[in-house]
Formats: sequence, structure tokens, C-alpha cells
Amino acid sequence: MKNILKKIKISNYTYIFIIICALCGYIKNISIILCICLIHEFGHIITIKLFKYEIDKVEILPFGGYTTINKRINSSINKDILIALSGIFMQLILSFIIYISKNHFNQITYNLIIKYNFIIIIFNLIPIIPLDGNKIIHHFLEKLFSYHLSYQLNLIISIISLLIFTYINYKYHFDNYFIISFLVYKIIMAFKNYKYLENRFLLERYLYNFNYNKIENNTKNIKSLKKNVLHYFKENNHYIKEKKKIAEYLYRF
Amino acid sequence: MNIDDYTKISHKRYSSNDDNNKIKYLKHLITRILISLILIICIATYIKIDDDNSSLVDKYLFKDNLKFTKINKWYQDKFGNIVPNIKDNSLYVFSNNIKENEYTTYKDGVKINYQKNSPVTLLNGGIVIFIGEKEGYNNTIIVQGNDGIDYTYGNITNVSVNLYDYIEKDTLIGEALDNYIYLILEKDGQIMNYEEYLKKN
Repeated sequence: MKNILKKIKISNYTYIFIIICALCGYIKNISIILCICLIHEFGHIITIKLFKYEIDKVEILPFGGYTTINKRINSSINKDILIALSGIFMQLILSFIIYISKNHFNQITYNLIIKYNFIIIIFNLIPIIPLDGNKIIHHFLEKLFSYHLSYQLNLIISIISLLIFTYINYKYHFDNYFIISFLVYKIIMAFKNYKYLENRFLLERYLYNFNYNKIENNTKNIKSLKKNVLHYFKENNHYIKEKKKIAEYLYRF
Repeated sequence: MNIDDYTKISHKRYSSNDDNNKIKYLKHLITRILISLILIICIATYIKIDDDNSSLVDKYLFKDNLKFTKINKWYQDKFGNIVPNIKDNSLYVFSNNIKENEYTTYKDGVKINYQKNSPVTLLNGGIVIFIGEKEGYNNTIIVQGNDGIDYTYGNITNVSVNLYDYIEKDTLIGEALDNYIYLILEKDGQIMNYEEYLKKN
């Protein structure tokens, strides 16, 4: 627990935002928002600890948190989906608890908590790259398609949804532009990181032995490798192990 | 050198860093405490120099509130909303007859006739900056309105708002203790006439 507390980092933007809110008299609203964000991240942390992965850092931004996990790309997809869902699940529990203990709250604070909770759940379900909704969609795509194709599809989906998001929130609010610029930055980073991630994906498969239940016999290209599936290549009526093909691909220069 | 030697050196560095961090933390803590002490002593001497100074400190530190609504309005003109805007569409329905026009002057403000235990609603939206007892006005609520006017409601029980809540027009803030409430309108420290205010709106 102590280690996790050390890894929680509050960004400088959050401090500036808290000061502005305090000057404008929104101290209650901002404390409610930050508490909900912390509870959301706590849900992620619990499931990550349950699956025995490592947490790199937990960042608290003005409008939400962001956890980075240190795990292998080829680990189980189902666990990843559960990790992505746990934040929203925690928020639903919170709203249920608040609903039960309705009488202990002032009417105005009760409305604030319920509505901010609802807004944050809806915001997290938008399929843009760093958000939870996108992670869920990405993992489902990985179940259907290859790693390469699912990554590309994910990028296309997130760009389209970002355009829709900006179209809805085009009004001049400083917060909107802050959020949109953060999302654009994350999408650009996803573009840049693709080649490194693909190399890591192949290298992990080469170095470690993963136990998969599914086996696919007739793969032709290295780019059609799927997550959580063991592949065999077919060439001239011979089956070739994927490790051999990956080694050829990695040492091609 | 062997790889093991390198690891040993790095381990030594890390272990020494831990002690250094503790010393650094202590140094920072002590400097912070000393700076705050110096500030307190500065203020204390500043108050002692002149009587006017002490009244200034008393006014700005203890009595006056920040002009939350003014800062908020300025910020919203320049940068837009700060927090996601939430508007309550539900309206309160009351069965009582509220006689806003039957009033007599009382001290700084007016004394409006009300039915006993009838709900009191806000004239204009704003932020609650004070809830508590005031001399001559019983239990009072002060609301800093969005239009720059401070609304002081006196003689109110069953307060249903908290301190620093942003509330909108016509929301319920409490119930009348007797068959009257007190109301003071204040703008920039000057008391406004209730009659003129009613005519404007």
C-alpha cells in the first residue's frame, strides 16, 4: 500500500486548477471531482494487484486519473478487459452507496455527486485512445483480428470519435481545449509508439513461452499474428514454428 | 571490472541516496517552518505599528469574503466554464402565499411578512458565504449574488444549504422562524433600497 501511495503523482495542472476553483468558489465541486477520480483509479489499482501486475505510476490530472501498468503485451486479454472495466464498476458501487445513504447528504451536494459521477462514467466510455472505453474496444478487436490490424482499427475509431467529441464540445471553454489537446497528444504518441510496441510484441513471443489454448495452423504473414493464439506457419507442406519466423523477421537486417 | 562490481556500486549509491533524501526533507521542512514564522512575526509587528493597520488586517483577513462571483464572472467571460455546468431543471412547488410586497423597514433592511414555517426562496442565484447567528437578525444566511449584490436573509430555520454552495434562483434555502423574515440588500458595501430593487426586477 505504501508503494502505491508513493507512485501517485498529482500533476502541476491540477494544482493550478484547484487554485482557480478556490478563487471562484467552486472548492466543493473540485473536491468532489477529484475524490471520484481517485476512487475510479483505486478500482483499477485493486484489479491490477489481484492479477499481480506492477504499477508504474498513477497520475492525477484535473479531469481524471491515468494509471500506467508495467506488464507484458501478450498477457491475457480477458484480464485486461477486467482491469479497464473495474474503474467504472467502482464508480457504480460509489453511486449505489451514495443512493443508500441519501438522507445523510444535503440535497445540493447529493445532486452534485450523482451528476459528476454520471458525467465521468460517460466520459470514460468514449472510445478515444487513453480512455477506458477505447481500451475495452481495443481488447475486443484484438480477440477478433490480428495485433497489427486491431491497432490500426483502434486508431481510426479513436480519431473519428475525437472528431465527434470536438464537434459536440466546440464551444469556447478553456477546459474543453485542455481535454482535447491532451487526447490529441495521446493519439499522436500512439502513432509514434506503434513500431516499438510491435517489436516488443514479437520479441516477447520470441523470448518467453506463453501457454495458449488456441492454435492456428495456417498463417501466412508475420503481421497476421494474433494475441493469445499460438501460430504455425505453413510453407511447402511443412509446418514451421512461429518463433523461427519471428527470429527471421527480427534479424532481417 | 565485472558486472557484479557495477551492481555493487549502484547499490551503494542507492543506499546512500536514501539517507540524503531524509536529510534533504528535514532541511526543507525546517526552512518552511522558519519562513512561516518570519511571516507571522512580520504581520504581528505590522499590526502593532499603527491602529489603522490592525483594522485593515481585521477587515481583509477576518471579515471580508473574497468576491467569488466577480472572479467567477471574469473567468467565465475570458475562458468559459470552469467545472462542467449542471443545471437543475426541477422546480420547487409551494402551496403558501408569499407576500413580498408587504414589508416595513427594520434597521438596515426590511422586515417582510411571511407565513410561519413557509419556505424561503432566493431572489437571485449566487454563492452562500455565511450561515450563523447575527445580532438582531437571529439565524442568518448571506448569499453573494451573481449580480454583485449581497443578500442577507434573517430569522430563518431549517437551513437546507451548506456553506460555499452555488445555488440558483428560486431554490429553497430554509423556513421562516416567525411570521416575518429580514432582508438586507448590499452592493459594494452600500445598502440598497428594497423598493427600487423590486421596481428594477
